Amino acid sequence: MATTPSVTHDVAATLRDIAAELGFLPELAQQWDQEPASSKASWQLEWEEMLARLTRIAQEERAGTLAATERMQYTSVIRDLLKSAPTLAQLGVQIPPALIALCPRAG
Amino acid sequence: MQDGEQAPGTLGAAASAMSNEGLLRLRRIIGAPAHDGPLADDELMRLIRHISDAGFDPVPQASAGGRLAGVVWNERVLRDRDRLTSAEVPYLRHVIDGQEWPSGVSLVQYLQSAREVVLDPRSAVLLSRYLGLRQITVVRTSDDLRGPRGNGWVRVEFRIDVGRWVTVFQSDDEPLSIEQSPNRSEQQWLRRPQ
Repeated sequence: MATTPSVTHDVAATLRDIAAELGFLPELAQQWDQEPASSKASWQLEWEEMLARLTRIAQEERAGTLAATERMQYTSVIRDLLKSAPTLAQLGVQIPPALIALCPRAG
Repeated sequence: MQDGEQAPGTLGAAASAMSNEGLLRLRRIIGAPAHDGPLADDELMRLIRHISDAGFDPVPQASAGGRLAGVVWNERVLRDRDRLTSAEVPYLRHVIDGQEWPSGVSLVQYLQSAREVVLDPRSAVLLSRYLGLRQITVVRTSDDLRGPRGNGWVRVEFRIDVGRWVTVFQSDDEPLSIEQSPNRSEQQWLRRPQ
């Protein structure tokens, strides 16, 4: 069980942002072909950055340093992320293998 | 596959040949004579000034969906279907919502800070393909641009086919980590990290 306080603000904000993007994915996928090239590039680059941050949170989760509320948020985000893999592929991105290896489902 | 695209992550002979194509493309952009050798100092400076002047696409067509929904901008609450300019979206994501820049930084100041990073001789400059499309990444330590939730590096991403910046944000990833992204190929430093 976690006993070391984590940087709650950053973790919570990152998880909130990713959850918001995942919630918007179906709509984004529907309009993807109409999105301008600059918007697509912006989204793809920033998505990669967000998943890099999520990978760091996954490492914290493995190390047992997330607070209980953060772990709940994290588990929910990972579940939704894995479900979204087909939609993400439509947008030209994939879940990094390093993150998949850390996901609870991957054991 | 895009023109000249190949599997990402290697810098072999084929990748070098493609990078030479990239250099020819850059020389066309700055109006320099065509050859495939490394950019001379004056050519690099012209390219950097070109990128600095490019800015974001001014047409308001970027989606405000995802994490911007609910953010207040210009006295209204943004909704998923709202359309913003290509500058407003990263500004709202990374300055207003993300707090990566110091509190109170305006849109104009955010854009100016990106120009300063591009023009700073300490900034590293990477030519690569990102998901198959040619791009130039300028990256520098965030220094006094780092806000309450900022990170160690500021990154300006310039998409060559669009001729504009596509995003500006802060990251913990050092320049050599950017180079190693599996989404990038044909990586070539035009100015190496210091």
